[in-house]
Amino acid sequence: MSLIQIEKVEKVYGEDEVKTPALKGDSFTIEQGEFVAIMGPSGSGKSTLLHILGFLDRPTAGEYFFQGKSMNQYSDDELALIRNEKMGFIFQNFNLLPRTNVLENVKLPLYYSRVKESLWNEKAKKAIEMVDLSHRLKHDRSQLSGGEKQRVAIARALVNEPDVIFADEPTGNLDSKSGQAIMDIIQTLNEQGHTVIMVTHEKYTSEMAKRIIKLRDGLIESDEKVINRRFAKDGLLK
Amino acid sequence: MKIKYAIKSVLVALKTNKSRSFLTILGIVIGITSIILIMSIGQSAEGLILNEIKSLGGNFVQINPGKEFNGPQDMAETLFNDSLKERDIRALKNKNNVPDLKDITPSLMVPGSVSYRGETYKPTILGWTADWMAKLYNIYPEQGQYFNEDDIKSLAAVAVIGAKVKEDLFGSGEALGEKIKIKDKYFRVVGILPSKGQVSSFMDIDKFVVIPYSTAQKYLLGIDYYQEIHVMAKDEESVSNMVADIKLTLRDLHNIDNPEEDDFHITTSEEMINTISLITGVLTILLTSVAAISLVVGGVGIMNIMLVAVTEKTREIGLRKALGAKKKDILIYFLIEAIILTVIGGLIGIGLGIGLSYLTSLILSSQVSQNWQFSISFPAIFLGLGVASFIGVVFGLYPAKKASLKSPIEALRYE
Repeated sequence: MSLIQIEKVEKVYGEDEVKTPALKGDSFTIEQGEFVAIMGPSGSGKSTLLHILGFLDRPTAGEYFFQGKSMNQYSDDELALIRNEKMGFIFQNFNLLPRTNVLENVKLPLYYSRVKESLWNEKAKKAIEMVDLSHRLKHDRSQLSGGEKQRVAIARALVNEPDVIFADEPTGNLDSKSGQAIMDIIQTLNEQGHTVIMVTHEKYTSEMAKRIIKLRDGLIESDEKVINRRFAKDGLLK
Repeated sequence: MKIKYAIKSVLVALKTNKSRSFLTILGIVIGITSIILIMSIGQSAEGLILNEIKSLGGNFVQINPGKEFNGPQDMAETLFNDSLKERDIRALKNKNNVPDLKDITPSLMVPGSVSYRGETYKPTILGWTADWMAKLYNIYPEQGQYFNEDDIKSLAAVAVIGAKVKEDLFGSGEALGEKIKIKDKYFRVVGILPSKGQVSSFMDIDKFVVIPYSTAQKYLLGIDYYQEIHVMAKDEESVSNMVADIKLTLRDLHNIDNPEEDDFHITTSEEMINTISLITGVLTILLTSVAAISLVVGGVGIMNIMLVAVTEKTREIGLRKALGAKKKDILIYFLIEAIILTVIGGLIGIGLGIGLSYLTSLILSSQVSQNWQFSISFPAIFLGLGVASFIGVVFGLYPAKKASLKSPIEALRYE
């Protein structure tokens, strides 16, 4: 059973007259433990694909099987629960809650989970330790640098020990040094067994994944293994 | 999501937008404040008037000319009705006619002013039997004494004056035995009342000049009828018997067969209490409804700001949904925000309402009547809190529903 399997997935935006197709019937499979980069120019449908894979949006046509079960069988609230327990999200613009400290931000997914309240702090602190921010627990969002914000977001994505982590341009808003550090964390997470699906438009970043799916105009252009894989911990090579 | 957490994060959000939150709840605050204020004052006013009537004693009965009034024209009729005359007093005094009657006196109001050596004062001039002052209010003259039955029979030109009248006309000088002028007639001051202030909201004894009713009627007004007759029954239990006897006697004397055509009406203190309760009750309901309208306006204000907040928080709603929040979680969050806003507004309103009621009672007790009692209307407090939370739910529901229906991706894309 594959972790993710999509079959002829289509997504059309707009209603009736002005229809804009974003995905035009794509199919692929992603196994547990993979690190996939979805690449393509803007408008190619890569973000749409990520949103559908992350249960944030439903396809217009086609089937999406997550861990063998079709997405169509789930209600919105059931999708919310799966997002909460099996998926982690990292966004380009971090999306941390304003006026909320690091610990509270990382705890946020737990409020909507079935995890007992007595375990919340412990779990959140563990996740924060993994991104090396334990010394910033009580810092407010506004007191953090961009790289630190993204590390908080990663900790938040990790806190429920998800099966798959979705990253939408995780280094897009960061300088190259901070970006490098973030990619190092993501690669480490993948080593530890987390499946990672990342959208990026940078060739350099995409080569840190194990597999690259290239999109153009809503269709898969290529789907290849990375031969000369880059490692973030080797430092800046640009 | 845990409600506790929702409450906590709502409080943080409200704190960050302090001035906006405050302005949002202002409508609720004003609405609840007015409700509490109106209901509390209404309650105090009713209590005050009822106490005054009760202090007259349950055995006090008043007879007025004209039929019982059911409208303004009946009242006008009463003012110029001359159906009650001396023969009525004589007939009522007769123990064979009204065995339960203990005491009876006519009462007349004389318009005009009094003067003494160039000083003029505008008092309440009452033609009465002065010792009823002692019988009804337990007030005795500080100097001199009340005029007696002989003075009344002889149409004596004597007067008992209140403390304020004395002070204005005589200052610190001697008043007893002096002659004051009422309508070109001279009256000798035989008694001076102690300073009592307002014994009721209708009567300021200090501004009274009491003269024999006979003198007022014939000497000053030149009429042969009475404006009002006051009667005391032996005791409270015999009031209804006495009233029945009075009716029979007066109808017999006035040749009235049909009670519908009565040219007099009798008011017992019990009836006065009922009438006053009805009037203050209706007034309170009326004013409370006006205040309730302001609550609705306040509710619309809350809904408006909540809609703004939902739009502002579109991204946050999207994020929370992406991280696993269900529709219900978002709905509850915004409902709690609305309810917290209104309940805080309600609590401030209750506090302000009680405070203002207290201040008002201080002012009223010094300006209107010393017997004004501060009272908190507990039904008003419960009504206020209930209405506030109800408004929170009703006006919060639409924005909250709107927020909960946002799709996670739509929200995340929102700029």
